[in-house]
Amino acid sequence: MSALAGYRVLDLGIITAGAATSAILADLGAEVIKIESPTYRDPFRQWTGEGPDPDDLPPLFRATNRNKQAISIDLKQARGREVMLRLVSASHVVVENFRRGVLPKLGLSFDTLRAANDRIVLASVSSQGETGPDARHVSYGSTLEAIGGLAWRTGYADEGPVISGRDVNYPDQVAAIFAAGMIATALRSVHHQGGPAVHLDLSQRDLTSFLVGDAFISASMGGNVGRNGNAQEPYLLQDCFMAADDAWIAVSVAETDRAALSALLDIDPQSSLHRLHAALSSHIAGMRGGEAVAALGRIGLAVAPVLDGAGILHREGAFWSHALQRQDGRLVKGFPFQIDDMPLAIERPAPSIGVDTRAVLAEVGGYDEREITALAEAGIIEVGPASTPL
Amino acid sequence: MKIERPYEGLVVVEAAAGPLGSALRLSTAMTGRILADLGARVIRIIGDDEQQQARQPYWGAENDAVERFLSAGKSTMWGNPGDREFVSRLLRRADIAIVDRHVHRLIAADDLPANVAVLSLFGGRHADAEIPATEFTISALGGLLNMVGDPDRKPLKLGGHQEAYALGLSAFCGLAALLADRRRALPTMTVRANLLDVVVWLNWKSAPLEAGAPVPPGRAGAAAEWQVLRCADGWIALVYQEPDWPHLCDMVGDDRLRQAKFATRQGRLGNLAELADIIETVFLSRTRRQLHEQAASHRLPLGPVWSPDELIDDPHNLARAMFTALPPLPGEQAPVQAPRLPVLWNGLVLSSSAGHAPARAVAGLS
Repeated sequence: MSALAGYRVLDLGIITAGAATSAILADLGAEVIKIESPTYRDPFRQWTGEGPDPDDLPPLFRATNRNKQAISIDLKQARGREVMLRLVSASHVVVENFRRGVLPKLGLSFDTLRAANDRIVLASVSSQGETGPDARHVSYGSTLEAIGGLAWRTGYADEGPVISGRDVNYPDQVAAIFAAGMIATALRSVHHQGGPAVHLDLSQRDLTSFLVGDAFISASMGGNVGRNGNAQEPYLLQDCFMAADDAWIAVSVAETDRAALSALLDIDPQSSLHRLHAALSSHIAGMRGGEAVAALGRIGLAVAPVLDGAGILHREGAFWSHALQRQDGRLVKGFPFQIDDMPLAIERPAPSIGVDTRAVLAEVGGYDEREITALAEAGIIEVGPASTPL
Repeated sequence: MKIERPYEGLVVVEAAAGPLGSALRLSTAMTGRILADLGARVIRIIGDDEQQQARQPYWGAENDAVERFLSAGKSTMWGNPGDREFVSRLLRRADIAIVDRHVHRLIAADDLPANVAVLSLFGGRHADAEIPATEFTISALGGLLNMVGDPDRKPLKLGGHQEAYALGLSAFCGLAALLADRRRALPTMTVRANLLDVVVWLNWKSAPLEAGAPVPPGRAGAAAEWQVLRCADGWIALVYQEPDWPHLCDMVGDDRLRQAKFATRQGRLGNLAELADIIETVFLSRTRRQLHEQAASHRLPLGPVWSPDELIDDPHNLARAMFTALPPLPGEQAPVQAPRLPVLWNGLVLSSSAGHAPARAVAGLS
C-alpha cells in the first residue's frame, strides 16, 4: 500500500517540472496517466539518449516518467477533448506545465475541467505563474535563478552572479517536490474535508524567490545582500581548500571549533580570520585530501571532500540510500525521501507512446472496443503496442 | 476574503537539537513554515540557551533574517528539545511531529502523533553515526559543490540555504502525502528524509550521465553552455536550448554568430568562450530591462539577474502579491518584506504572515 494509492492523475506534464511532479506522485502510489498526442510528444523523448540502442528512451525522459502509464489523444480535435473530459470526470488531479494560455486554448480551462468534475485538482506548474506581466515569458530552471533572486546571492565574493547551469538546473528539481506536496495538500482538502475543486498556481519563479526568502528580509532592512562566496553565518569560516593531490576539501569552522583548530594549526587562538584562513589553507595544501579530511575530522570539524559522480556512487549505501535507484542495471533518479512501511519504489519503466491508450480508455473512460477502434481510425487517439503487465 | 486554509485545525510540533543555524534546525523550520502558511498551528521548541547563542558576535544580521523568515506564523515554546517529558507532553497533543533523529530517538512510540517526519544529515548504513557535518560539507559529498563555479577556481555553494530548505520541502511533501492517505493502516506513519540523499537527488544528473556524457558534468565556468554575461547595467543569464539558437542570433544581431563554427551545437560547445564574448560585447550596450523585453519578443529564456531590492518592486511580483510585510518588531519603522508561500490556491494567497489576500480576481471564484 502506498500513501497516494487510489488517486488518479492525468499528466499533461512535459520536460522536467510538470513530468517530474507527477513522477513523485506516481512514486507515492498514485495512478498516473501520461497524456501525449499523435501530433505532440513530450520533447524529452527526443533528447539524446546515452546508450548504443537507438530505441533507448533518453535518460532524462526515463527519470521523469517511470511508474506512469501512457496514452495518446489529439486534444486539438473536439472528439479528443471529449475523451479527455471523460477521463477528467473519473480522475482526481490534472497536472500541466504547458506555455501559459495553451490549456484554455485547447478548451480545457479550469472552469471546463471543474464542470466535468467538481472535485478536480488542477496543478498548473509554470515558469512564472498564471498571472503577471511576465507570465508568458519562456524560461528554463537557470533563467529562474536569475529572475528569482538566487543568482544574485550565488558567486565568488564581490564578483558577478553565477547560476547552477544546465547539468543541475536547480529550480526544476525543487519545483517538483513542492508541487507534489501541494497537490497532496489539495487532495486532502477535497477528499477528506469536502472542499471544492482546486486550481493550484505553482510558479517556479515564486518558489525560487521563496527559497532565498531571508535575502528579501535583509534587503528590506537595509542590509547589503550580495555574494559571499562560500562564507556563511553562523560559521566563523567556511570555504573549499585544495589539498596536495588537487582534491578540493570543504570545511565549516564554528566558533566553538576555534581553539582546537588553532592548536592544530599552531597559531594564536586570537588570530584574525584572515590568518586562520591562510593557516588552514597551508595546512591542507601540505597533505593529501584524505589525510586532511581525517586530520580535521579528528578535532571535530565538519569537513568533506568535494566529490564528483564517481565519488558520490562510491558512498552509496553507506551514507545515502534512495536518491538514485537501479533499473535494468542502469542508474535512474530515485526519491528525495522515504516512508516507513510504504516505501517508494520504481515498479515500471517509462512507457512508450500510447502504450496504455486502449486499456485506459476502456477501464477509466468506459469506452468499448468498437468505440476505441473508431477513435483510433479517425486519428483522435493513438494506440501503442501492448503494454508490459504491471 | 477569508478562506479556510487546508491544514487549519492541525497542530504541529517542530523540535530539533543542535545549535541555531545548523542544517537540521533550518530544515525542520522550513517544513514547519510551509505548514504554518497552510493553516496549521505550528509550535517550535527553542532551547533556553539559544537566546544567549543569538547574542554571540558570530551571530549576525544574516542569521536574524533567516530566523525571522522561518519563524513567521509560528508559536514558540521555550524548553529543551532533549527533555523527553517536556517534548512528549507536547507531542501527545499534536497531529504532526517534525523532528531530527536525536529528538525522535528520545520519544516513546506511543507518544508520537499520527504523522512524523524524521530528518537527519545522512542516510544509509551510517545514518546514525555522529559525524560533524554542515549544509556545506554535505553539498560537497553530494557533488553539488562540484557543479557550480569556475573549473580553475574553488567550488562554489549556491546562495542561501538551498540544501537545508530542499530537505525541508522534501519532509513537507512526504507529510502532505501521509495527510492525503485515504487508506491509512497504521496509527503512526513516518517520513524519513536526510540531507545527503536530498542533495544527491538534486544533483542526480551528475552520476547517471557521467559514463556517457561527452564532457563529465562539473564546473564549466566561462566554458559553460549556460552562463551569466555582463550587460549595460548588470548581468543576464544566457540560457537556451538547441531550437532557440536561430532566435538568439536574431536577437543579438551580430553576424559573427552566423559563422559556420557556431552553426551546430557541437561547434558551439567547442567555441563557447568566444561565443560568450561576442554576445557579451553586444549586451554591454543594452540594459537588463531592454534585454528582458527583447528576449520575450524572441521567445528566448534569457534571465536578467535582479537584486532582492529590485524584485520586491518588480511589476510581475507586485501583480502576484509575491511579497508581504511581516508583523513589525518593536521600534521598527519601515516594513520588512518577505515572500509569501509560493502557491496561489484558486487565485488566493495562503500565508500566515500575509493573511488571505486575493492575488487576482478569478472568474467564478471571487
